[in-house]
Amino acid sequence: MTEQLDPQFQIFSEMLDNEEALGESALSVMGKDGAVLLGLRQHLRDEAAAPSLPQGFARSTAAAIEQRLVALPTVVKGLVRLEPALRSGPLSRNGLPWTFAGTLLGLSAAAISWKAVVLFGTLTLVFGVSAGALFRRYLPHHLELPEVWHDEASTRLARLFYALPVASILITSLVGGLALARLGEISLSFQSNSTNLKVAGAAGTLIVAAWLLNAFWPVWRAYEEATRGRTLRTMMVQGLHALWIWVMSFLLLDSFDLHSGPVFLKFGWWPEWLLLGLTGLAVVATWRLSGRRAHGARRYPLTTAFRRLLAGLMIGAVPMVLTFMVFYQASLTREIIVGPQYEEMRHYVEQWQAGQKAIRPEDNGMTELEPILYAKKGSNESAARLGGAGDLLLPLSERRASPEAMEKSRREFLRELPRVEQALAKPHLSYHATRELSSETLVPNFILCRSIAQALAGLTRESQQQGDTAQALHYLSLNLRWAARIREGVLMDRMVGIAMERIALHPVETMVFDSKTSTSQLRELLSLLDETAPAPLDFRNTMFLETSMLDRGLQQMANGDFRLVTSQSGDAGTRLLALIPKSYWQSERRALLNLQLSQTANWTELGPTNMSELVNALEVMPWSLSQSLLPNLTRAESQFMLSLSMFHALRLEVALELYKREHGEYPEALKALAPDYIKEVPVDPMHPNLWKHKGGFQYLRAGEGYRLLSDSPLYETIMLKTPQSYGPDGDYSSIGQ
Amino acid sequence: MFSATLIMTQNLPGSTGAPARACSLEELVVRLQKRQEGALEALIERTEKACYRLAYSILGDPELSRDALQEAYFLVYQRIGQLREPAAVKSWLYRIVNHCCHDIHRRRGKEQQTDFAEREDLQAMHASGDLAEELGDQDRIRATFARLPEIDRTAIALREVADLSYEEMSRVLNIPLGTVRSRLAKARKRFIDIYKGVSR
Repeated sequence: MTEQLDPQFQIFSEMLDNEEALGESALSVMGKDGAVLLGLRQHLRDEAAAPSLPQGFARSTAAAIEQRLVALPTVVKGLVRLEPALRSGPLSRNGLPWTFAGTLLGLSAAAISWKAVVLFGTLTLVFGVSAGALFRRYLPHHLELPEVWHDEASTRLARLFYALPVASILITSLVGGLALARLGEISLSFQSNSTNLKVAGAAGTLIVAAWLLNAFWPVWRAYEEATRGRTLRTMMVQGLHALWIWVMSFLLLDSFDLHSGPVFLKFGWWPEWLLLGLTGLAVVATWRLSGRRAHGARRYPLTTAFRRLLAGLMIGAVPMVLTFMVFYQASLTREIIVGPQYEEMRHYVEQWQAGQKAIRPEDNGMTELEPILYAKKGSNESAARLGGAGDLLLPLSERRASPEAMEKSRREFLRELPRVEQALAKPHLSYHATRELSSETLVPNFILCRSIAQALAGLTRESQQQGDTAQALHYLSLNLRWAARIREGVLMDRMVGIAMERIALHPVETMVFDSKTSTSQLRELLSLLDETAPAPLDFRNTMFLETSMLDRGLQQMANGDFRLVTSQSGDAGTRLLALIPKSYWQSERRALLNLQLSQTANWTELGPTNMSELVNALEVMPWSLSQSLLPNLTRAESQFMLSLSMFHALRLEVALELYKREHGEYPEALKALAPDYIKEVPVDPMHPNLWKHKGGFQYLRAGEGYRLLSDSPLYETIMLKTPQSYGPDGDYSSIGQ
Repeated sequence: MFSATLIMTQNLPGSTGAPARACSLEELVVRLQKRQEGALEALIERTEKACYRLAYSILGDPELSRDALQEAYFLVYQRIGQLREPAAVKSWLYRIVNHCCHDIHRRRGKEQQTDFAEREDLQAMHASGDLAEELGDQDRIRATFARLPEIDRTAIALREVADLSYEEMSRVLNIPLGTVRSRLAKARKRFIDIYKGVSR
């Protein structure tokens, strides 16, 4: 029970302290009690003045202190001697943040890599500048000794108060340090610095622990005072720290396998809301508890507020949010919502895989090309010769090479080209024939593929300019067929293929409007375009494969098979990933399937639909891995449709040219072309409507020529101007770049 | 050897020439932070009386007060680097002395318990008025003060003996200003109550 004081007496007490200023009138008000207290004052002053210290006390005390210091262990003596220098320099209020920042930066620079220097350096510089500015202005000018406790009984308890907060800081620092130490085992970028990172991680743990202890101490002191003698408050603060330690231990020591005992799932949503409420409560409680008592609150309000908030977030919000994430993730996407699409996907993927497995090695051109296309940069001479020619033979920029360099490059390219021709002569060109579709699938060397496409397009243009249309057609055929083969596979294959076919289509208009191209060659060109153009459902099929691949990867994760990640990083990576609950991977898997499959209608219809609303946005957490795994599908889809649109426009151009050669002029409308010159007049895939309702290209006769326009807002999503123009006066060549 | 390094003089800019005894208290703190020769002794000389009075009024025993002071100056030497604002040395020093006095009190646990037992006896005697007859005024004041809880004795001693302002007490005790006021008032009230009992 807190003892209540009569307010009158408090006024009286304060008057006594101002007695000299108030004078005799005050004394009369104080009465007998005042006289007693003044008597006490006089007595204490007399008594304290009476005894005196022995002569030479100062000298003997100083000598005794020296003696005691001599008796201290060497390490402690060293610390005592060094401490003032450290305190006034790197450990001073101005120096501490810079010490912290500088140490991390130095460690990064010395032990890790330039990437780490940029990463940690930027972070620590920002931290150093902001913390330095704050400390300089607001930090109290002197540190004080630890709390002096007021009676024997509370002392031990009060000291115990700090045990859990200190433990929570230490374990947090340890988790951070371990994460840093293991960065090299997870990230390929830091792989070569794995050993050094371990050193940096250990040092980082100590530095972060020291800094956090320094930062949090004043707030804890305020908590200790605010909770002293109050059981409920003490339990709350200590409970929050205990929870924090629990969460950190969970991250540090073992995997908490929610999957094997999905207790939380039985309870639906309420644990999540409960935790959300507790988070808020914890922040408010810690804020209030630190309150006015926080060290230096009056003199340094901003620093105090910052520390209170930081402490509130740390002991309140952060562990709650982490726990919340686990609960939330575990209760999310409990089932695959988009059932029919899932079955359709499974059916397609199974069939595709069966088809791939049926390909015999001798029928697969990839057997010869794989060492080139999937080689590491600079490790294959053929790849270097093929890849070196692209920018010289068809420069996409203004840069032009010397004729000698071009000739040399052409020679080298043509020497390697038969290998490509030989591979394409085989019925299949499949990377996936010998490998299972999985998250370990590699993508072909994009730069090399683009370079080969550029070189072939350059040769096509040169042959056409030299009047050798047959040879030009050969190169074009090679280029388009290869692009068509490459794009079979997952999304990255498709995107590489699309880039290649765009480049391959560059010289087509030159061939179409060149009088040296014969009618039969035009027909040959038309059938080549028909043969190599992608089908509307291709994109959906690609996405089925992509979804299946990612799904398989997440299933691997859920089963504890981290080959994909750990093939580069060894067992430690596995252990780190194993800390994540299996249910998390399962949940991510379902979220991914729901998200991707809800897009199936889009891919099938190739136009905007509302089908994506099938999956509620809340089904996937904002920080869900699935979100980051998902490529930019809108952009990819638009790229696919643009590619298809180019094929259709060029097919129409060839058909219009054939019509003109027979009738002497271009037709009044496109429908005159079907079915004699083209099987049917194609729609423009870039048209924004659904596939069944898409409009066609705009066909404008202008004098003796015409313009074929593709007008669509979808061009904006891939940052191209609209409308795109084809025909004798058209210019679509920029698309390929 | 550490003793050799301890007495080694560091001639730093701005601190040469002037003897330690001629320096201000703040300058002495700076010198001590730099571990300059003679700085500790000069600081002790400058502050020992005030510290001793405070220790004595809390502990009430010359011997124990000297022990407390020796312990306090040892801590001062060890932790002088933590004092970032030399101007705050007064309250910082009182705080250490206060801390050391409490430490000595803790070590005297058994004696303290005896004090509590004596206090209970005393309270029993209040009712009978025996004590009042046995003690003179000064003795009554001394006996009453000695029987106050330690927290009260500290508050009163800091105010009446060390002559600290409320703000300084707030820093020394590390409690808010309002708490200083109420704690002091409560201590005085308790003193009056016990004193009246003793006088009755």
